[in-house]
Amino acid sequence: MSLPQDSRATPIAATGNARLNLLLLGSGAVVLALFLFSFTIGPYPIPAGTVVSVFLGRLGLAEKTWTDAVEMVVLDVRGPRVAAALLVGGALACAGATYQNLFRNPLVSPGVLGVSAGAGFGAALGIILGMPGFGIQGMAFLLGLVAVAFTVWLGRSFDRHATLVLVVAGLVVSAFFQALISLIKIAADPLNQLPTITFWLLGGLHRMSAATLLSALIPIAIAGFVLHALRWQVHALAAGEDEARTMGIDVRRVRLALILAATLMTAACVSISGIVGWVGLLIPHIVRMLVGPRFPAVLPMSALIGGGFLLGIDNLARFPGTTEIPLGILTALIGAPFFALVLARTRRQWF
Amino acid sequence: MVLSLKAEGIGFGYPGGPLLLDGVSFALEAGQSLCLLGPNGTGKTTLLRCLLGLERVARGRIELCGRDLASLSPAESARLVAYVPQDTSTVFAFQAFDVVLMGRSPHLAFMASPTPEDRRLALAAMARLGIGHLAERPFLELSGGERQMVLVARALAQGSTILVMDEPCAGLDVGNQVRIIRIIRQLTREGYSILLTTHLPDHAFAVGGQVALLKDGRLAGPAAPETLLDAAALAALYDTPIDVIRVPAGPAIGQYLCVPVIHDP
Repeated sequence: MSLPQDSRATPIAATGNARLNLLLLGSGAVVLALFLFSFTIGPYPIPAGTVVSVFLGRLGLAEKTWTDAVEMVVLDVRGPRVAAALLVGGALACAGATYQNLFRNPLVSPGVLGVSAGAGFGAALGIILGMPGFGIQGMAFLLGLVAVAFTVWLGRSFDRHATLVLVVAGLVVSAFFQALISLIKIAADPLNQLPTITFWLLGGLHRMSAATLLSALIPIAIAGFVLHALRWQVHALAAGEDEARTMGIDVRRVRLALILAATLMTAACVSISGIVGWVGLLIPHIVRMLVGPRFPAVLPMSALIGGGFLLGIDNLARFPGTTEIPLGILTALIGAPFFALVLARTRRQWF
Repeated sequence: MVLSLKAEGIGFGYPGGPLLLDGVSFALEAGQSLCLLGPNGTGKTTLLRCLLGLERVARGRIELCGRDLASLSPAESARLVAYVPQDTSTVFAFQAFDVVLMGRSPHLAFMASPTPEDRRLALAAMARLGIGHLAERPFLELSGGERQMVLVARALAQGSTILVMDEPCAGLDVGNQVRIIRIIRQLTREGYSILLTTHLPDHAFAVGGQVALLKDGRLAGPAAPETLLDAAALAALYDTPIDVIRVPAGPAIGQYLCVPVIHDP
């Protein structure tokens, strides 16, 4: 058996990334347009041109022709909120895609595995204990880890290969932490803490400040770097843990690093935006329909599409003329039927 | 000459359980194959898992190309030994090429994705087995025989010279079984060391290498099939009478057949 020259070597070898780059570029342009549009809407409409000028002015590239009030609305009021929507949506989608590859299970997500509920309980606990923002994030991370550990343990002690068992285990753990959250609500001070906790748990990006944004940006950036560094290992884990090990993947370490990173991302999101469901479950599937199942492509695309998706939904949440609708309600209203559609289309490949 | 694969008195049992492997020893040189026969639940899979580093042996020592397996990192051992599973289930809709490309994992630099050279090697591995045309087909839509070929290509792309194959012919039709056996013979001639398990004693003859019998965690052999596989040994191994026949004439002249005795006594 000599090595014949395969005439198709060049197309696959060379064009594999070209299509991906084109899709990334196209989606990036759409998200950028959405980003600019997001600054224009609100009780105080600002034309898109002015928004661009404010940004350019900030960079010293344009003369100031707008009022201080406009600059404040763009940079201090809408800026952090728009950036937070992109960040939280992108991070939840990346965490969801990671969990799905790691557990070889297309039905899991931070929400399904109980991570969101665990992190929510941790953060709520931090709030009634009067912890500072950093402490609340730490609690969210810790309890998020506890939740995912319980789910994995429960799932594996029953049947480590069944797709639905892990989902049911997540349901159990999620229900348990939701109950703990309810207990905290009863214990909370009904005048100050209860409204804070309740509204925050429904998910929302209102009252976002640059400082809050930064507090989530740092852990998410660190976790995002870890996922990027391990993207090929995550990809190879789709062949199963044993096979990945025989292909040289240090499965134990990689698995631990991935669970820590994805849970840190989720906890950071929960601590600034409350429990926003569906993004982590839905977006990776949409991304796989667009770019295929290779994780090195799924990861950046999930960040982009997840961010754009949540930004679009947050724009709906604060659409002028309506009362502010909690984000978690909207993602469920839009995400659930959308996921049903995705499920109907791709179910055949999963089981 | 350095041995490719050497097992020295290995013993293995899950914590608190009985020994599933006890004093198993054998050695494989480059260009040799070893066919492992044994009834269900006798420790064949466990032995393969130990050789691949998926289980840590309790006793004894495994050497890959002269190096102690216990001291090798996953990437180091993967560069020496590759695994061809019976079948693999991928959750997502990968193309056959994606599956083969995964074999390049142990050669990637830290934080890197496959390079164009890795892609070329993966395609070359497919071309070498004559399945280049399957590259862009969805892996899960391939037939069992084609999937087995893709998994062999993945092992070749991995670049390791020792191949461990778990029942490579299981679930395949006769034509595909023969294709796989021919490939095993060919790869052995090219210098690969191949360890495979099978439930068909005929295949031990057909593969043309050594054979070893595993029963209750103990290994008999390795030896040439002509000396080890007689009617008495097979009957003891599988607990049922089996006759061994040499084809006396015709195109398959000289080939061995292992025929279980079905007649009522």
